[in-house]
Amino acid sequence: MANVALAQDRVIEGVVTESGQSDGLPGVNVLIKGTSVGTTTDFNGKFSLSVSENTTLVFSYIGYVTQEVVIANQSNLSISLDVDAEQLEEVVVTAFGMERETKALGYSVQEVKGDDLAIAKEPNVINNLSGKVAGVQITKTAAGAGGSSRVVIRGNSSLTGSNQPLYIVDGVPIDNSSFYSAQGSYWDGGIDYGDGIGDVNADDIETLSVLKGPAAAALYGSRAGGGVIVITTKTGKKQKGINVEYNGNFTFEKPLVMPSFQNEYGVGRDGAIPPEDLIREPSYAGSSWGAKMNGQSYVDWTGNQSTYTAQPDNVNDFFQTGSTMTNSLAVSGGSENADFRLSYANLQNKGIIPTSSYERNNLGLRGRLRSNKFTFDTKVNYVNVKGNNRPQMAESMENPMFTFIGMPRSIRNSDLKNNYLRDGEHYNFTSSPYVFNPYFSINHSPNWDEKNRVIALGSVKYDITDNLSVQLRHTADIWQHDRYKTAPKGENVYHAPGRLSKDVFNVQEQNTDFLVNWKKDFDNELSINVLAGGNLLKQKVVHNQTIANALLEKDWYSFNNADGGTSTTENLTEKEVQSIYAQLSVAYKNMLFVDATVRNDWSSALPTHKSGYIYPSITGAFAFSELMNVDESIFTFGKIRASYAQVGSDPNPYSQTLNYSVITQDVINGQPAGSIGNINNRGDDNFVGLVDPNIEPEKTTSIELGTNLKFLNNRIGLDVTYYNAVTSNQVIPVSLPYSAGAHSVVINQGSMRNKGVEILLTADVVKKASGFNWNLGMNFTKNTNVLEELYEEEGLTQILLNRSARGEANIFAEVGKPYGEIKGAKLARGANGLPQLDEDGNVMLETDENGNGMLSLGNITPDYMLGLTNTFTYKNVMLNIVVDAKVGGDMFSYTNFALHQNGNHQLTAEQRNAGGVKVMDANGQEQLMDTQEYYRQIGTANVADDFVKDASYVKLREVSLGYNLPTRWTEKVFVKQASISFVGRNLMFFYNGMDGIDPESIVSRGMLGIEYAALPSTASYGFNLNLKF
Amino acid sequence: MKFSKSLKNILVAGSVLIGAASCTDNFEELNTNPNNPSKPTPAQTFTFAQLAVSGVGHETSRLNSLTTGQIGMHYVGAWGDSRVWLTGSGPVWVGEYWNKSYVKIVGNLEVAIKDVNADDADPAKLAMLDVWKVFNAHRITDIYGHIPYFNAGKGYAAAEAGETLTQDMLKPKYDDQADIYADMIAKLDNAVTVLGTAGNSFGDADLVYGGDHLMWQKLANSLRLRLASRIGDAAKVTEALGAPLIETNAEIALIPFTGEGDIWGLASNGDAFSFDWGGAFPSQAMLNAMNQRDTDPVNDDPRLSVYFTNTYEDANGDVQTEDWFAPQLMQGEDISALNSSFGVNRTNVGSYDTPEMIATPMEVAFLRAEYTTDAAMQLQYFKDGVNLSLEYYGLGSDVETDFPAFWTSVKANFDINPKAEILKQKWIGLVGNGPEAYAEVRRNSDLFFGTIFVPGVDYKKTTQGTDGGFDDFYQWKITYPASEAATNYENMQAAENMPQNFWWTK
Repeated sequence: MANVALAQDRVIEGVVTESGQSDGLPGVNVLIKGTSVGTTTDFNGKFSLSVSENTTLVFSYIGYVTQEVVIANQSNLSISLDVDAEQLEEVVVTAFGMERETKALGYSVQEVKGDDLAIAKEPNVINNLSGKVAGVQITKTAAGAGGSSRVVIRGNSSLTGSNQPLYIVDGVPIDNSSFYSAQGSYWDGGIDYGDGIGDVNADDIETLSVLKGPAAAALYGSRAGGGVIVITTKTGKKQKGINVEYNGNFTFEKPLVMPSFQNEYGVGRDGAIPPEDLIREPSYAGSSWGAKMNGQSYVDWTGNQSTYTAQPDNVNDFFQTGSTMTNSLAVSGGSENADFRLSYANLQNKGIIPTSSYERNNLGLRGRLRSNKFTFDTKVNYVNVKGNNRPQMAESMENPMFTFIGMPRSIRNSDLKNNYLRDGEHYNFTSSPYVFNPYFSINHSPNWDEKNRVIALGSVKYDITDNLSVQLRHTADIWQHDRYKTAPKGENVYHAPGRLSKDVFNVQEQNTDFLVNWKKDFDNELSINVLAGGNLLKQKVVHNQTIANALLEKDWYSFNNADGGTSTTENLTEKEVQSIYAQLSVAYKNMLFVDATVRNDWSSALPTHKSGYIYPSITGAFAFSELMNVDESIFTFGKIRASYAQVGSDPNPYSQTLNYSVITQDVINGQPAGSIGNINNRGDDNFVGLVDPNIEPEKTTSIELGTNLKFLNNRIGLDVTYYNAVTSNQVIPVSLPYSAGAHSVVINQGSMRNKGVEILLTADVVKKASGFNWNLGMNFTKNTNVLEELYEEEGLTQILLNRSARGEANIFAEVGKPYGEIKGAKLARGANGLPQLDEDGNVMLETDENGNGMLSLGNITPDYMLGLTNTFTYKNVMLNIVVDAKVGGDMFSYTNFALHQNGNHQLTAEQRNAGGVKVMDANGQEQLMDTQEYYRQIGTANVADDFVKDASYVKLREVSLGYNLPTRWTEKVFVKQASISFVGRNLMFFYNGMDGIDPESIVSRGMLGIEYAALPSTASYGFNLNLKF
Repeated sequence: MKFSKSLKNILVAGSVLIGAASCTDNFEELNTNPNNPSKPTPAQTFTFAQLAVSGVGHETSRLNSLTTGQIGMHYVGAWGDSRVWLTGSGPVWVGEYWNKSYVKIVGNLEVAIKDVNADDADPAKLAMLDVWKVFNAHRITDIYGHIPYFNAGKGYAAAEAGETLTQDMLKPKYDDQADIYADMIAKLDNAVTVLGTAGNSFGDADLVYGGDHLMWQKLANSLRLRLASRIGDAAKVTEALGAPLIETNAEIALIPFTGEGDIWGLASNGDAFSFDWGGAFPSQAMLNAMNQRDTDPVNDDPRLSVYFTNTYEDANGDVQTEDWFAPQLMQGEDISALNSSFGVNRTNVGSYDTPEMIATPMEVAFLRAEYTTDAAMQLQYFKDGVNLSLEYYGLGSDVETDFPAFWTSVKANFDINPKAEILKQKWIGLVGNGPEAYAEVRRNSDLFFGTIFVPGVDYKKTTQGTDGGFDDFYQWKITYPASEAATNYENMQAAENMPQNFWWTK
């Protein structure tokens, strides 16, 4: 590769552009024909090269038709390259990080560029995917920054599994556990501490691919039941000098939607202002069934003379404007044989709850080296997360919304703030011990946590020949999370002596794998690629819990302040999975493509199955447009594809083991007593469960058909997929008769089907030479989910998945219905839909023909989802708008249920003003029923039916308006490229089916369908600055 | 060809991989849950199965003083309807004991038996486990009739051994009581033989006898005598009477609760729960039986003040005493008429540390009296029975000397109708053992209802029926628990369709 200098060498310069465009094309290869001597064009499309007389220069760039130019006497060239529609193939990242041309794939993969995810940032990067990928439903929890997200690809497939996808970062499966502290229970919602994907630095991401169905994910075998998300991070690029990039993102957050509070009636009951001695009595102080607020003089809960006036902002005023500041810096560089990238990002978030904060630091280093035939790749990521006063969910006393849904409308925020302590003790507008003054809990019932995480990768690849390579890799994801929770001494009724608890999770996932890759082209018609490899996975979780169940002094949260010592427990979980896999890819005439894969997994969680489990797949794609003789400027490309695949699910460790208990406390003569099952120290059989010794993991079998079409020289792209997947061998618990000697048995029974259509349409609607472009991307998803069978022979047609605290809403998986049937009590109604009263004037509940009162109120599964992205560019300005919609899918709002019960909701004021609630009496006459009494009866009977509503929404998800500063300005300050954008996320609802609640306010990522005293979701807006040095 | 050679290389490599990949030997160990205790020994399980007969908090009281103790005519209830034997609040409560005992006792015994068989298959250990199994099973079948027995409680033991869980295990069939009794007696026959040589198994883990084989032989035989008398197998009764039995109070079989911890703990007698909440009171039948149906306190049964209290605090807080012959609520009477003067003496009956009776010498003596044909021996055995009961409660061991008036009264009754008085005194001695009292009353219902108990005086007949047949209103057995209807319906139905021939069916 010597630079041969001939006599008469001279330097020629030029600029390369795309034909019809005025901007220079960077990165175009300029080679002297027949040699490897050459250069590439710079940012502005310019190049300069030493040539001799009669040299032929070859200009080539992927996606463009190669041009050859013979140099005569020119010293300056202006080259215009034509777009080669055929060549402008997308390359996507698929399983194991392999880059494949989409043309060759027999299954559906959708890729999103990292830069698209990093403009209007949400702290958890996966949320930025909302509305951008067909088939993916992303729902945030109501925990604000630092919270986790429920990601469901192609519908829920498992009754008892998590239904979450596998996340791969640079080939490393990262641990996505959250160890959500209360398992989504509604009594003590606990704290959502976030999940694994939330630790990833968005600025590090190069591409994110969603492998949606079993065909795409088959190589991941038993971990692919919920789909796979493959993320590749940025590496250094071959370039001159060092590349430095800075990204700053600064946003403010304000509540997006607040419940519909009424502002007419104040504290009290029966239409009267409570007397001074009863003003804090829970039965008076917890509701707004009092008098109309007209400024009457009265003694309020602080004991002061006050006026009975409306306080429309008493809830709003508690929340502060949140802010998120992210600064990230990346330094990279590279040569022919080596490259590196060093990145650092700092995210600081202040939540809308005062004192609540979340901070994350990411440090990453990636280096690659090619030498002889070896390629080395190493990466280390370090993440540190600190949380302070994270929001507590549901009925936690520290959840301000839980207090607010029961707070009368006449309470002043300033009173709350100035009176949360009286004589050094907690003081509140109510004397109920179950509710905190939020100003007290943020100051005296703190929580804090810190997480340290290292994700590391080391791989070496050896190119044995040009066609054969072997790679060995080891990856590790190791993290520790220390979580502290407190209860103030003497103030928390559930932990009266005070409490300090520390939960430490030590989690490790290590993967060692090797991959052999062999390819061969035959006569330019047939090409074969064979992959074979194996993987060893080891997972280990150690959970240590230290608790001080009583404290000596107030407000000193340290284990040195424990009254009566501390107790510690330790729990260890381990699992190992060994796998081998292989893939055969055959391409014929670059037109017909067939892939076959097979994977076998042996899991320690199923030691009785010696042969492991096998997961095969076969996919095919036929680029029929190659055979056609059609004008490419109209119909550019067409492909049909089909696939069949099976993937499985990974059982939890110890799921097959039987439990035993040994009791040594309070026994006779000190003789320990042992028993099957989980028996407590009192000898109560808490749970005695059997597992079928022949239990198998769940299995998803799917067929997928699709087509990719491109029109008008790739200006319009249409991708349609139809899939039909069945998940069988559902692992479910079935109740046993006690005479069998156990409570329940876990068996394989039942199957659930997900079938649907995904449509992705992209179009360069406008593409003008003047530089005005309008690009549109639309994705549509319709997934039909049905539980096909459960356990017919035993008459088991439904199982309970989850329920709200007092059984207002119960979520079932019922045969014949989609996953997540919401059931509960329903009011009996008269002919005109009004609630029907009985002879005693009480509301009645509806029952079905079997006398059953647990009736269907809705279903959580949506009908379809739609996402729309519009990007407008004009010269240096870019406007990007993302709208996403979810249609169908119901939700129970406990907030609205409680607000009506307490007379805090707008509707209850209207009803009072109208004289009562319209009902039908026992004689069939329309009547008005006292509003307070009506809702008291609804509350006592836990009737949810009016509060399960269609949670459809259309959200303005993202807006960003950016400007690329002209290089002639930026060069003056040594900045190669600079852009500034105004960004906004979750800005507004065009439509919201839920009254006063954001449908994305679930308690935990474990379950959709129930909102429970959710913290208001936020709209964020601010700006983003990107600088390249 | 290069192609096929390369392919061959890959296939060879692949098969090496598959071969090498079967290094899953450590999987069993890796999948052992380190956070839970490993399997308890059969000894520890045996201890638990013994403690569980007196359960935890609710379930035993619901079996005993709240249900069988009332249908067995010892107590009247304070909650709901005192006519519990008619309207059957009993089944709802007793069901809990079925639910718990099948899991905690039968499930554990099956696992222990399987483990002993897998280990050394020691016949003595197996015999002791079988005796306990029989003790538990007879209590359930005596209350419910046909019950799951041969297939019961097998789930855990099978799952542990990696065996397939058959439908019979997951939904046990109900077995005919006659077959169950035959098997129970056969097991006791075996135990009497195997445990006839001195030895010890389980040691201190056995709370009843500390593992002593010969004592267990006596227990097995005493239970055999009891069961044989239930089914009226005279030959078997004779056989049992000829083998070692529990004959002295030193040999009594009981669970020695210590009352440590609280009512909910394993060291406490769960029956105390009902008395903590004032759930059961001495019935009119019981008081009448013990006050000799007269107003003379001198001939009162000396156990009256041991079992019960007749003092109460009046409205002014003063302590008042009621006469033992003052009227009390009788079975079948309206609860509003309850005279709450009388209660249970918590020192001796129904307290946290009251032992749970398994088999008593008093019972054996009375059975001897019942089955002997020799009139003189009958009186002797009868007196032994009374003495043993009195002795247990610290009232001396010679009733004739210590309580002459009482003895005179009792002897007079005995002379008129020996069998009735034998049964009556045994029934009185069974206070605290509801299931046994319930069984006794049904075993000789013709004597109890009419002779021993006077209708209209000791118990009220139903307001629905007339003076008609006893079947009108007595609860001969309890209906199956709701849990079985919910999870094992077909088998339960099949049992209800089987001929209802039980040992108490006349």
